[in-house]
Amino acid sequence: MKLYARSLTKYFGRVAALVDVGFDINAERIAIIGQNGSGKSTLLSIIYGLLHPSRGVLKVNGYEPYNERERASMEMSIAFERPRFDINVRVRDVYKIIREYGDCDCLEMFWDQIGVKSFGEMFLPDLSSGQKQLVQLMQALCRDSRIKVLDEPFSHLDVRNMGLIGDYILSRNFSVILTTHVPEEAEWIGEYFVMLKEGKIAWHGRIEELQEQGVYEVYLRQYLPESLEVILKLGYVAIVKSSYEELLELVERDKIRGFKKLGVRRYF
Amino acid sequence: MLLIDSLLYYFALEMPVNERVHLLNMLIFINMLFFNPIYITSGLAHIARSYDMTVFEISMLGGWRKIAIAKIFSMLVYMAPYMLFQVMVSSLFSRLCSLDYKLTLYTVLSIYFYTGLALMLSLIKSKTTTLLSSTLILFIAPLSVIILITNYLMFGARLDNLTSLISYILNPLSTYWYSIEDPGLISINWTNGLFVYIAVTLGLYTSFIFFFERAEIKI
Repeated sequence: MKLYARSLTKYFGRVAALVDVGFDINAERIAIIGQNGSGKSTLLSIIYGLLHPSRGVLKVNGYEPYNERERASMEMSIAFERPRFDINVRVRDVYKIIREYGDCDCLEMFWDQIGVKSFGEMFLPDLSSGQKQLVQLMQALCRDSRIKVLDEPFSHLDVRNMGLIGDYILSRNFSVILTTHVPEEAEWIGEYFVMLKEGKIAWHGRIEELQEQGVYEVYLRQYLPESLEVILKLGYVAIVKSSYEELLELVERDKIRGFKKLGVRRYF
Repeated sequence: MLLIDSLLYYFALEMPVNERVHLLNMLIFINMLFFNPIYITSGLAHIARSYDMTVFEISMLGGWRKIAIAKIFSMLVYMAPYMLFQVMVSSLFSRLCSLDYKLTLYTVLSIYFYTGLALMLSLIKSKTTTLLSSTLILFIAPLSVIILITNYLMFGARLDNLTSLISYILNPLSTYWYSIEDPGLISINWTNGLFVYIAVTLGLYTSFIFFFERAEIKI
């Protein structure tokens, strides 16, 4: 999949959601990362063709999806976070519609393994946020489309379902564009990363480009060990300068929960 | 038909012609001002959905135009029993008052027109605003024509071409009705009115598809 953007800008009134965003990507799984309000969903809306940019251009496989909406909606399917369903349709009816021209293996996974069947008789507005998320993902992943556009796909999901769906995404040969504010989710699924910060590109590239000698992400257990030189602390994870041996010893002494090589968290 | 004929027979026996005409006039009034807004808005409640739901449907079915067309068909299917009822009642009263088929024709077309207008209103982002504005517009628009024409009647004036056209578009039944009662009042004849009416109605449905396909949606 080719994703190209040049001077992409989107205003909502006077508020700029995206400012001069530009990239030229050729990858099958693209993760768009950023904090809340960084413009991820706006970028996704433009990618799916729901919004026109105020300025600039965005192309998916060579065409502008907001100008060719029929083509975009045929080639892409979308799942977005926290949907507001306001029509009384049963989950079973959604399942039946997708079954007409969807991927049977995918549907079977959602219906039986993940357990959508257990709330099949419920109406969409009555579902919990996790159940709504599952119905959305079933629709987006199982429909016959080449590109899956997923907005925060794992929010509201338990770890078991997250694992099943993540593994399914990795095992298939469709293209994926997903947004998340959880670096581990992005690093798990993503092949190419676009980091947004206040509507601008903070960094984009592959994870290999981030590797830096002697810099690690450390998962804290209560307090940060004083011996570590901290570059940045983000919640329960700190980016530190240290050695592999020192960190391994801290894990064994149960001073930290674990550590990993520096990833996309660096640009948060 | 036997039922309609029996009803006609009994009405014809029981009611003098003047009263029958008054009854028909009242029926048109109630129909345009109350039944149409209530029934059409109740159908619209099913069509006007949150943008989240619309995006979900577009993604699930893979197309914008097919969703727009499905919305139109769904609305028309919902309107079908109401139209049938209206056709039966207006045919009955047309025959009762010795009027021709035009009254029935305009009855059906006015429902098509207001359904199209309601569909356009469903493009508003807020469902509450859509339903409120639909009820109000569907009530106010025909009423304003009745007030306009009665004012012209009171002053003995004649509606010019543009006003006549607007009257035909917003309230074809009453306009046609007044054109029968006072032949000089409406400056365009019923065939021209009908032609414009059909054109505007078709324009509304086409515009709905056009604007739906270009709606800006932020998820």
